[in-house]
Amino acid sequence: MLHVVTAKNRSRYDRLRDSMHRDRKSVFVDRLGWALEIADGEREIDQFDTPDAVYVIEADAEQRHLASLRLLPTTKPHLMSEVFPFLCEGEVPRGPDIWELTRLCVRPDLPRSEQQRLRGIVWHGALQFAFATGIRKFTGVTHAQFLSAVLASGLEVEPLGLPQNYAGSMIGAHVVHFGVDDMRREERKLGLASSFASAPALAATN
Amino acid sequence: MGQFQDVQEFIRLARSAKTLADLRSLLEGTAKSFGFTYFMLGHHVNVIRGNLAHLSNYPVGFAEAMSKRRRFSDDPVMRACQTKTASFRWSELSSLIPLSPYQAEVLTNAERAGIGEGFTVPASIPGECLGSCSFAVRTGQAFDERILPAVQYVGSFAFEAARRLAQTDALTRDMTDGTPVLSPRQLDCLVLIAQGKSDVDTAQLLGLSKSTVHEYIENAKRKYGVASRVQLIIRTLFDNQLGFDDIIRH
Repeated sequence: MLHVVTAKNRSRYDRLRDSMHRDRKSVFVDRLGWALEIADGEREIDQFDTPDAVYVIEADAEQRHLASLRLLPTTKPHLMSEVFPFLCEGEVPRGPDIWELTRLCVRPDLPRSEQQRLRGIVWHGALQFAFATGIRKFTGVTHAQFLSAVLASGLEVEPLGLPQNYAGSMIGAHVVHFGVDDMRREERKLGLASSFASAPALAATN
Repeated sequence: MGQFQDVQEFIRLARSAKTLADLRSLLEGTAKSFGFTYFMLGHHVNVIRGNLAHLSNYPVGFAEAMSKRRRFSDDPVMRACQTKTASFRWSELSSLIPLSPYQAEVLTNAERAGIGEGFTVPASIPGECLGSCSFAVRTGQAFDERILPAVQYVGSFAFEAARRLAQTDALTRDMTDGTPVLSPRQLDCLVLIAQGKSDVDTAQLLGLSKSTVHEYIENAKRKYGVASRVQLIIRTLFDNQLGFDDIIRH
């Protein structure tokens, strides 16, 4: 089941968030080898995992983490503004309708096709959250090698600057514009009924 | 203009390209502007048909010799893409994969044909066959390392444009090239068969009779001129009438 964890409800999700941070450690540090700080040796938590962060988390029946991503308001300090501003040729894009999407993480011990499906579910959740709250763009820092897969999903991705070598990989800053069509495409992929059929008000906001 | 502005302009033009021929000339011009002579963009398959892309300006003799050789996995660049999803220089190849004698020979032949050092941007898309976009200078020449970040993005966005255009081409093309076209119902049956369902289960799931399912499949086999269901499934995957996603995700 999909959960959107915000400042208001996060106390109800201590256990789910804990299992997310453990999976984040095993994906980003153990498997991808990112040089992230692991405070207690088990959980990946950084300075942006604050009550300002919104998490879209898909959980199993036992409330354990399956897949998640983190959304940060760009009006506050976030990864691109604090750690990677040098990836942007111009200013770091900021505004109430621009949020940063980071830490897309899927439990690593699942079959690839299931991981792919779960990635679609949390991404769709992020889009739903965006349409419900008036977010128009996502920014993010991506490894250049994953760019083809992001582009193939049909999203309109604009680079914010040239990619650069960082800790042995090429990474770049991007902004993603999205619209109702992207939402519909994700729903078709996931075999879901259209959110817009039952919520014309949402569609009208686009 | 700076390199980033060049990349932004390339992205804009690649997105507005209407045909693969447009993209080809755009790519050729962009390769030249970065100091490269050759480019090769494509999915890593033996025969290009259906909605798969292939664009290249390699010297004709070399390209022909390559396509007559054995499998594409014998191509050292494509082989390296199977193990590495980040971009690489061809001079690094021997440290990326153990080069077979045949793969070493391919590199030597390329050098002789005038294709020197190159840079490859792999395109790894879940559920789709591998592809890449490569750029190369003439034998004996070198490229400026500082252009590689820009070339990385040109490669990725070019591949996506080619992927999109090849799909559109396949959809709009009058199938005069002899590729059989299966009906949606035939494909529905085939997806379930590929998932290991029996004719009886397939019939039940689709609300058809068992004999209708059998007939659909037999007709599809006839269209392709193949004798077995395994051959049929492989051909429909190859032509991208069905994707791996259709079979694995449903």
